Amino acid sequence: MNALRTVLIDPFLAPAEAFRAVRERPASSGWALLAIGGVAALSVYALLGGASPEWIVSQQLLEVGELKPDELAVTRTALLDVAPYAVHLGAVSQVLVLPIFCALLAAVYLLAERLLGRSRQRYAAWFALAALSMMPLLVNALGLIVLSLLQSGDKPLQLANYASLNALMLGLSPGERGQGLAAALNLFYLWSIGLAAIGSRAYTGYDWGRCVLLAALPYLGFFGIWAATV
Amino acid sequence: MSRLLIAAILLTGFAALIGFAATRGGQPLDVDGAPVGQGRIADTALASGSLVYAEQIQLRSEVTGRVARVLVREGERVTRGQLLMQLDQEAFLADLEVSRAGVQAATLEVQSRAARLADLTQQLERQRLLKARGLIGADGFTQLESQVQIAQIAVQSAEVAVTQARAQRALSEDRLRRSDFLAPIDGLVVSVDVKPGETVIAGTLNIVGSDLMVIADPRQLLAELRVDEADIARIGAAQPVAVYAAAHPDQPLQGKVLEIGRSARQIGNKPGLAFRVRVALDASALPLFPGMSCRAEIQTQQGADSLHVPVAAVRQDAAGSYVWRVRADGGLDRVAVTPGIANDDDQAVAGDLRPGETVVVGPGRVASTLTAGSRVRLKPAVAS
Repeated sequence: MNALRTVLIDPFLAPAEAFRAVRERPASSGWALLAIGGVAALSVYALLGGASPEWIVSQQLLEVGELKPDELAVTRTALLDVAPYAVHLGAVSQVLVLPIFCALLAAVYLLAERLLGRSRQRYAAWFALAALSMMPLLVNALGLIVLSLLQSGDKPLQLANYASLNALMLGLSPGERGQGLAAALNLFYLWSIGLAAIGSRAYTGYDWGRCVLLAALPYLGFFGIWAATV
Repeated sequence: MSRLLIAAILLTGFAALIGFAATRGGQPLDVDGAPVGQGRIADTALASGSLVYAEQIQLRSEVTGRVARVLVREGERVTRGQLLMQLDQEAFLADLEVSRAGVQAATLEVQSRAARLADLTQQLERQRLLKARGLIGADGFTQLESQVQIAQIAVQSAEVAVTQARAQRALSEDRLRRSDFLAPIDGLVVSVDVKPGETVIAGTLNIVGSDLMVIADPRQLLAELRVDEADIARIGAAQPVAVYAAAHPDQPLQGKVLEIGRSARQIGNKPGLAFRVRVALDASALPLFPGMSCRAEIQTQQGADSLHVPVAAVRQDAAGSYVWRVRADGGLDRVAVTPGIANDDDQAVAGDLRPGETVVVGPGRVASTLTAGSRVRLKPAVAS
């Protein structure tokens, strides 16, 4: 019970303690991944559970780049074939992608730790840090469930990005320059970066500047390259 | 900071975020809109081509020679019979001189042979008298008779040679005459494609670039259009045409179909075939010149007074044709419509629409994904 509280509650209320605890018992971070994946999967069902295949396809097409009419027809047909399973596929992918994402983050953190100072943590510890730093995504998914329940009828796919830079500030339409990037930049990622910075300070004892840099490095790399291509 | 306080801050922030997102209800889609109009739509066929003068004569050379003088310039007005250009005449004059000498020589030959015939005829008459008196034998008389006949034939042959020489002289005179290029009509020099010193070759009709000059009557301008074979069945004589010259793309020239070609031609390397359609243009104050490229809308049918929307507004699926009508609150209504005739821009429609209502016309990517539940926001340019 204590382990559950450490990975599910403490990252929000006492993050430094939570990270120190999972550094000693990295396996307990699996509960965090399970919780995030489970709630994220539920949020997919809440968003798209009752939607018709045609609606799902029309929403997916909005996210696709500009297509010629014949390409649009082919893409629509292909998406319609998959549409009945799209909700389940979306839910499963939420569960599967999360550990992969954490593994990549942990690799970057491990590398950055060695570049920025003398601290030498195990990869498992960094994986646990990455998993706990993802906990804001659980809140994000909970918010999506609440919003989905508040709306009736078909819900736009863009609702999933309700906490994005685009939804909160810019309001760019699909197809506009930078809309994809603005929709991907999420408020909860900032929270995750903050948690990762607290965690890396608890792990390494580095100063706050290096910890924030370490925590933000994977996000800066990913979104930086994306921004350069927009 | 106590855990309770942190929890309260987090919960408050979360509630605020959810409240904000719920209030906005999802981002509306930016779309282009256009008002429903009312009026008569004309069905049109599109074509392209170039402007030409109604009467236009290409001057080509019928003789080979070197250009000595070019007496006119492009754009110059000329009168019928005016000398436009001249070839070097030295060779033509020499040729004529030879021909004339040939006529003289042939004439002299006739005279010579006629004199010989007259001499022989006199001898024959004297021999005839002597033979009648029995003073000469029959052999000598018969031989002289034959010589007279041969002399007669020689005279006839020489006369034919004179005729031949005169014909040759006429040809030389004609060649000399054709080395002068005269204006065939009162008109305008449209193009001059030759310069002094160049050599022109006879018999290059229908070879590209073989025109020496083009003279045209500028009073009547035509548009010579290439109409796709798929549209030609809809084209009829006297149909109204709006022609847009490339130099004046916003000022249509009005005209009427004058001639419709009856044989399809291939244009360039394009696989399709096209027919030539000539359009008589009304008088215009615009500066227009032959050779200008143009596009044209041939009005093939005039519809009745009806509602119309931009062509891009009409969408189609298995249930039929429809448009998206934008409500004042940003919501959409799917309105079934029956399409009527269309032109390049607008489509006549029948359906539950009123003039002035707004329908979605694009962007295509967004319009293709709209549903009755979508919320839209008209782009400012259109909304205004």
